[in-house]
Parts: sequence; C-alpha cells; structure tokens
Amino acid sequence: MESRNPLLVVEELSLEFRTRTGVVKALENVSFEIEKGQTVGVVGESGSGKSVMSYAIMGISDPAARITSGRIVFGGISLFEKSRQQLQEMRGRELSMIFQSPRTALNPIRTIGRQLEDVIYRHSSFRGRQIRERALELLSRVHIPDPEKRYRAYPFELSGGMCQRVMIAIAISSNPWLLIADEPVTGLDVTTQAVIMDLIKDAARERNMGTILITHDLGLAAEYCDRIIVMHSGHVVEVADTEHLFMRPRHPYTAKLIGATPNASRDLAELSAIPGNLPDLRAELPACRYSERCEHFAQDCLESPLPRLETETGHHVACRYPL
Amino acid sequence: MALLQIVDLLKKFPIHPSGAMERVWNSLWGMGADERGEAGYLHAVDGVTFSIEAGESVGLVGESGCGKSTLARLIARLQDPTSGAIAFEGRNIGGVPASRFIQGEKRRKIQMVFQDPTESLNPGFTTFRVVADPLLRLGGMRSGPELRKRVEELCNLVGLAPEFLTRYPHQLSGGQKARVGIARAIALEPTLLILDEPTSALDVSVQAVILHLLEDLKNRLGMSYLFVSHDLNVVRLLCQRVLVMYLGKIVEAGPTREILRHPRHPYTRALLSAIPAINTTERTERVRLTGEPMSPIDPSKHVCRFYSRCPRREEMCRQEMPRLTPYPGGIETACHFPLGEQENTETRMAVS
Repeated sequence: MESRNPLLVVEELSLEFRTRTGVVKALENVSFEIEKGQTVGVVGESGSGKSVMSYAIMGISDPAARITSGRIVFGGISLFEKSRQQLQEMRGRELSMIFQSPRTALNPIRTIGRQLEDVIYRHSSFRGRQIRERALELLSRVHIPDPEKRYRAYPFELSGGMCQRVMIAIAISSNPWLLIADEPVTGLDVTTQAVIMDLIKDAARERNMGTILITHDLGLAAEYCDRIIVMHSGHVVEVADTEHLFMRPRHPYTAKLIGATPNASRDLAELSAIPGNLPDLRAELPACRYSERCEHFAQDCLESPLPRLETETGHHVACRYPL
Repeated sequence: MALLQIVDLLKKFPIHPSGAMERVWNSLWGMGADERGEAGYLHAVDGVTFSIEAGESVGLVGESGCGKSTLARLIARLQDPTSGAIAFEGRNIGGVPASRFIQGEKRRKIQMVFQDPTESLNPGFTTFRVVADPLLRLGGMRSGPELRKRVEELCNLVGLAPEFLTRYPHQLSGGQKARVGIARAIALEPTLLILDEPTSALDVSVQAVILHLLEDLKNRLGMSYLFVSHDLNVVRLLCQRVLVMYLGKIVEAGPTREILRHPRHPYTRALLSAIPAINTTERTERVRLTGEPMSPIDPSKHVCRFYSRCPRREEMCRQEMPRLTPYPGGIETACHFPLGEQENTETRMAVS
C-alpha cells in the first residue's frame, strides 16, 4: 500500500447539518480513493449525499454543516489542516468543479470572456494580452464555434450546451488535478450530453486529471467511468470497477437501481421500482440505512457496525448478506 | 376515424428587433406586423401532420428547442396555431381561440400533465384543491361530500393516500407531486392526455413507479397518450408509435420498435446512438453531431433543417426540402439519403 499514491483519499468522513428540526446525519463513514487520471462515478437517488460529499471535498459546505469525523487527503496533504486562504488558493487551481445548471453558475451580467479572464487572472501568471489569448484558446479548446464573437456574449445569449462548455473551459483553465463534475449534463439533450461528456473525458485524459462524475444516470456512469461509487442516504454502499459493478452488483440497492433504469430491451413489466423512500436522516437510524427498503432484510441488519466486505479485489460492499 | 388529426399545423412567433418601448409605441398606433418592423418569425412548429387513434399512445421525441413542447401546447389548445387544422373527435378545434376553448365542452376531453411537477402546482393549493379545481370549473360539480368522494377516488387511482389531501406542494416529494399532477389531469376523464416529459425531473426509482402507473391508467381508462420526451428508452416503454421532430418538422415517424431497430433518418440514428447504456452490448457506434443547429428564425423553405449537422448531406439537401416518404415497416422518413438496412446492421456489428 505504501507505494501507491492516490490523488484523493476520503477516509471515514462523517458530516452532519444542524437544523432547527434536528441533526441531519448527511454522511456517515464515507471512504474511497481516486487515482490520477481516473474517472470515478458517484451514483444514487437525490438525497443520497452525492453533492454534500463533493462540496465537502471542495471545502464549500454550507455553514450549518459540521464534519464530525474523518479526513480528506488530497495530493498527500490533509485538506482539513489547510487554512481558509490556502483552500481558496487551491480551489479553481488544483481542485475544480462544474455545476449542474451552467446558467445559474455563470454570472448573468458579465460576458463569458470576462468570466474566463477573471479565473485566469486569479490562478495563473498570465497578464495583459496573454490572458485574452489564453481565454480564446480555452474557448476553442471546448469547441465553441466562433470564439471571438462568443467572447463578448452574455450567458443568456448562449444555449445550455454552450454555457456548459464555458463552464468546462473555466474549470480546466488552470489544469486542475481533480475535477468534480456535479450532474454536468442533466437537463441537456442526449446529443449534446455526448459531446459535453467527450469534452470532459478528453480534458481529463490530456492532463491525467482525476474526475469525479456525480450523476443519477447509471448509463452515463457506465459509459464514462472507470470506477463507480454507489451511495444511499449518506452511506457508500458499494464501490467497484464499472464492469464488475454492472456485471455482478453485490448490494441489493445497486441491483435495484440497475433494474429501475430503462434500457433498449427491457419491457415495462421488467422495469422494477425500488420500494420505500429514503429514511429521514434526522431520526435514529439503523446500522444499514437501506434495511427498511431491502427485500433481503434480516434482523441482524439493524445491528452496528455496518459490515464492510471486500468480495473481490477492489469490490467493496456494505452489506451483511451481499447478493 | 382518428381521435386526433393534425394537418399542416404551423406556429410562428414574431421576433422583435427593436426595444420594448418602440414595440409599445408601435402597437399603440395600431401598426400591422410589417410596419412594426418585425425582424422575422421563429418557426416553432412548421407544417406538422399526423394522427392519433383512440386508445393509442404516440411518443414525440426531439431535442430542446425543436418545437415539441409548442406542438403539445397547440394540441392542448393552450396556444393558438398560426395556421393548419387540429381535428379532435371529428371537429376542427384549431380555429377556436384558446381563450374561448377553455369554456368549451372539448376542454375536458384534452388534458395535460406538465413537465415540472413543482412548477405546475399552485404552492397555495392543497392536494385536495388542486384535484378538485377542474371538477368544479369544468366537471359541473359543487363542493360537498360528492366532490370529496370523487377527489379521494382519483387520489386512490394514482396511489396517493388520503392523508396527502391536506398537504401543500412543498410538503410532498417529487413522485407525490407527479401523482397529484396526474390526478388533476385525469379528473375529467379525458380521451386524450398530453404528457410533457412527465418523468424527466424524477429519480429512476420513482420514474419506474410513475411509468407503471401511466400504463395502468391507460388500460383502465382507455385514454390516448401523446407522450413528449427526449428519452427514447422511456418512450418505447409506453408508446406503440413515435414521431421524431427536428427544428419544427417531423423528420421520421413510425412504429417504435421499427424505428429503434432500423432508423432511416440520420438524426434519429444520432439520437439513438447518444443514449448512454449500461449494457455494453446495447451500445451502438457513436454518431457525433458536429456543427451548430440552424436558426429557427425564417428558415429556408428549400434547405433540409438538419443540413448543418448532417453527416450524410449532399448538394441536393440544400436545394430541395425532403418530404416524409413511406418505407417498409410502416416508417415515414423525410430524408433524401436515408440509411439502409445494411448500414444499421454494420454499425451494430462494429461495436460488438
């Protein structure tokens, strides 16, 4: 283990929100690793903690959030030991993020050229004319036609797909080590989706950049990720290489998610729903948070600690009775 | 006779070049469209013809901005078409202004489920009031135990427990809100239900439940569906027939199974190949669309709408607009150079 040097290590991370109605246990003992150049997908229903986890890595959690245990080690250094200023320096330079709705993530009253320039100015040694040249280069890098003209455009003048390209240009402008893409293509057309995902994939390959792709679309994760993390109400329930995970899901929840995804051959009768809802994270929770919805439920599933097994090398599952 | 027959339907929106003040000024002086100096027209729906039989489910797919939502709203008579006919149960309702249609007897026959379950519910209405609203306005019912019974019956039909009747939208989950939207739409027992991306805002687990519910309701109530979606894998679960739309025009139409197996229009193939699949054997060779879509503002009558992005374009595609032409298997395709059987098999082979 000593020889390996993963880009990002998340270790036993627990995070809670203090709200007026109680403490929301949003993440509990979340652990995973990402290698350089690896694309890791994070899948799960809304409310499973995918975004909360990525915000925690970026250090942009809500003020009500409190990390109660664990560490996040990025490039060999614990992020929790960094000062606010140091973190600010890292964000956008070594750690970058693309958000779900490009139109709300971009500043509506600044031209996209200006917004790119801002980031380049902040995070590089380019000055004066170089900044503009670099910005134009980035815009053509993400295949924006006629970059000179689009440079002066405001976000509302561009389509959703074009805005997302601008977001990618901004995110990769400083050649980050890790890119977190939070539902980068949700709401875009499938034809545009494919183009945007190819862009992210190419950018990652060129720079040997690690990528976290947060998505609720299993198909998308299957096509673009090397490894997949399945989350369910704040727990990582399964982690495996993409091929393994889909060929032989071991956690009942993963199997259910796959069964609920429409594909090109399944009939409606074969499309199964997942019974029940995500549990209330403010309540007293059993060790396995999926137990209430699980068809393979047994009484000892409620007992702590939640078992974590490695069924094959690199295939981790948090279930007492894996499939 | 078909339940719904759309003939050469056209919807254009004027584009104003000048500022807002100038527009107000011009309209005050009662100037006509030409005098007002409109820069042109956005052709949202451009000469669309198709029909839906009683009890049939038809899917309408295409990317955002292709006019599929406008088409749905025209048929639901929320908007007035520029020209063309909408024959519903044998009567042309296309000419009835939307403002008058809402009081007509056909209003209750055509209902709609909207895309965003949150946006389409009044935040100040309880579930009961949302579902009771169409019954009071168009169903000739009055407040009382009878209304209560009917609302409970409808909620039961869509799988909402009675305890949800007193809840407001913000107290409901996405799936529950979708159910409320469906209960409202079926309250008047419409013969045609238009569903505008009913599941695109939902998680797969909830989507599966709602799709099962829609299939069940269709069988029980014998409605026809016009199912608008961008996801062909969802459309194929509910619809026997599918229409593929590109920039205001239907470019391909036919039985769903046939179109998925053997698309002839290059756009349909690109659309199919872009769907990400879990199963590696389902993946077809990626057709990446390059180029920008053409502008929908005053498009040429002669150039194929897909010309700017088409991998198979030829000079002819710029000179003559292709028309829908029938092919074996019940497919109609508007393309001068449609894909042959051979090419579709080859791409599948290449991947496996």
